[in-house]
Amino acid sequence: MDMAQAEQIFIEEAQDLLQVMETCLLDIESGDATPADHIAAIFRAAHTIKGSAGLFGFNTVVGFTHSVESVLDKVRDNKLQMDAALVSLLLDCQQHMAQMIAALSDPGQVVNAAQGTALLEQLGVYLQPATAVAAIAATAAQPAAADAWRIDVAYGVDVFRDGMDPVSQLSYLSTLGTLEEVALQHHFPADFDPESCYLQLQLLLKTDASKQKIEDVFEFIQESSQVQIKPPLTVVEQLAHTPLQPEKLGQLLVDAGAVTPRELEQVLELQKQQTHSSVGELLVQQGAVAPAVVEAAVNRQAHQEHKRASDFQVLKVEARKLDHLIKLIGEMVTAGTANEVLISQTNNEQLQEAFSSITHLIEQIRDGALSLRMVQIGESFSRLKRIVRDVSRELGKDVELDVVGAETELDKSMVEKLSDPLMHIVRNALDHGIEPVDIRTYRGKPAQGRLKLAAYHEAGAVVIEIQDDGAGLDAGRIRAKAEEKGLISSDQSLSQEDIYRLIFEPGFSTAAQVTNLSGRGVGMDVVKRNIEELRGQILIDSELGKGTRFRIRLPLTLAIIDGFEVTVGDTHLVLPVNMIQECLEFEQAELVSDRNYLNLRGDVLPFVRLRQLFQLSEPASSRENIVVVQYGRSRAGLVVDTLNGELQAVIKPLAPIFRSTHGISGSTILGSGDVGFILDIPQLIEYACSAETEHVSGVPVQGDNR
Amino acid sequence: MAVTIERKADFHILVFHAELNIFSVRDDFDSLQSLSQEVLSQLMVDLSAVQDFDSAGLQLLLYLQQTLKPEQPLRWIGLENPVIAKVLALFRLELNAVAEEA
Repeated sequence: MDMAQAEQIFIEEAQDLLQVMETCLLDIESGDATPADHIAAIFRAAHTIKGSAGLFGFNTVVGFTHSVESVLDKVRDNKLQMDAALVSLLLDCQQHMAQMIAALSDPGQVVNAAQGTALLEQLGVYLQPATAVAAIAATAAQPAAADAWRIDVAYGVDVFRDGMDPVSQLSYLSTLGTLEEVALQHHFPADFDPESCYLQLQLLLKTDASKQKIEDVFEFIQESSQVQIKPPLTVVEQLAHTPLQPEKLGQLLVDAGAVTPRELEQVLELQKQQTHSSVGELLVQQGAVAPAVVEAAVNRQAHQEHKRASDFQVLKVEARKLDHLIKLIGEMVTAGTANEVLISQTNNEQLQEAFSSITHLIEQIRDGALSLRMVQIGESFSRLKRIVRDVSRELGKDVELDVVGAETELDKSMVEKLSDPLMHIVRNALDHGIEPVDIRTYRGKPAQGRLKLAAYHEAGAVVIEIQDDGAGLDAGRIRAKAEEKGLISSDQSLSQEDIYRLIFEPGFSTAAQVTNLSGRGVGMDVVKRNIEELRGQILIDSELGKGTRFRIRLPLTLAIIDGFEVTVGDTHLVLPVNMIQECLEFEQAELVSDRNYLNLRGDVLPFVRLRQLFQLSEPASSRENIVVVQYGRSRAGLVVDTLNGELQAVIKPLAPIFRSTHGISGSTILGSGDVGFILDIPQLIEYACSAETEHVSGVPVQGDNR
Repeated sequence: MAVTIERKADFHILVFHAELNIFSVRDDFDSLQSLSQEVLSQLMVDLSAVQDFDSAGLQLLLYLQQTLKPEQPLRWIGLENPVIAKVLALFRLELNAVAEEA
């Protein structure tokens, strides 16, 4: 490996680490995680970047990252609290580091040196010794005993009246183990009431019982009294033997018996108000556990993370090699299908059976290889988190981002190509969708806007939703703008959905103001084109004043699909199996005059005659079939001659000559060696539905090849 | 029945009856309010008849010791009563300890 290659690896790794750093910081900022949850990962990222940059002599990167690392080190040692201001500063530092790393591979990239100096000055403030705050140490109350539980109970005044008796509690506790110390205190007021309780109890209990069992003794006075149960320091030893499954500090402490689920729940509730305090700090503050125990749990967690790294080894493979492998597997699938055809002609049952097991293995290899390219869409969503944060600040809007289904997997090449369209839709939502705070308040909406990113699987496709609770699309304004720009005529009849789709027309924009983010009338047409290039579809739902939802439906992969082969004359066509609902015999006689719809068990089913659509000259066969296909909520019938059965179709890009042909999204080589055209089902369904509108209104349908 | 006061020789004996618990402390406390300085100066507390003793009863005794007669330890009778002894043992309270705490 030469130096250039090594440097490239460093740059890629640094970018990955910066991504981790950004995600963690954004999680902390949004309250999805605490500093304690992520400080180790953030520190590790900065530390690794600094170390590796030093190997290559990238001194500017080393110098800057050193200051970042020093601040992070203080946070890690609880000498500095990671508050909102520090998180924001660290995010700016992360961005500056990303600039510096990008400049290493692209000399044209400019690094803002003045920004770097300003950031270093700000970091310097945190590195002053006077700023150190020992959060946990400051809140430490009574020390934990070495081998006994320390129980402090400040009884509430109503305890006696509620029928509770400390004698009974003490008596029961004495059965759980040995009461090493019992100290009863009382504070009688001047207006002493004999039925009120003024007692406080301090105990040291040596027992093998769990914290839960001890806590149960005080179950009925939890509401009226203050009960603190601190585990003995021997729990630290238990922590070391606690199984590694739990990832959260709180759960780790619960599993070790140091904290009860109730205490954890209380602290998590408290954390919603004190978002910058960690669970560990709050547990200490609440007296549920000693600082030493939290420290042991944090160390245990760090050990767990370290262990995880070796448990889940990741092997990096060049995308080029993976693409080559997929391509070869595609060829293997094609060759396999060709062999299957030949073998079926031999009528040799033994050979056919033997080959069917090979076919089964080929399918498994195909699926395995394709899964190598699958990545979680959360990676793209993380980048959007940063955009939402920065853009909403720039616009002075308060926006909460809600991410659902980040673990949904999609072909890596698709995730990459989705990045720009998603970014554009999100920017649009922030800029034009979500209103400024004063307008939201005036309209009776919560001041904080909401933007939801969701991803999920639906009928063999991945759906990505971007939903805001902003102003919604104004169909009237869109229509007026479209008429003004000559995109439609004033007498043209359009459904609400059709009007919304006008925003995808090139040069269309209704934004009253052009900002540096969006509103220049470019972008949404590119968004639609990019999605369609991925064989996807973008839909819009909107309600004026309530918000807008973009739904992007994408195929799971771009490489190989399970297909169903049909023929029209001599032309072989392939449909994705997951879009087929059923196949029926096409009865010409049952049709309503010359209209292209039929009655399917009481439902209207529009259909397309593929022979007519593709202008195939061969005469129709005596018997035709109709394949009912569905995409999203729409369905239609496709009239074909013969149904040939399922196959694995390796998708090949269309030759330029076919690219203007609507209704075809790709091609494939069939087992017979013939070329099969893969049908673009969403487009055909849209065509079938629109054809009826054409019939009624007489307006030509876009996409008609005739 | 609330606490009663008996005179024996030079002493006034404060006698708690079967119940010294949350159900009796109100009446007991009210009775204690009317004790004169003369009674308090020569006071002994008899717990031998107590059959039901709880934390509210214990609290009243602590209050009695601290508030009504803080200058010198009270003198107790019937501390060997198992009902009383059990509770005092649980709280690690001894006669002297009760007196000292006040």
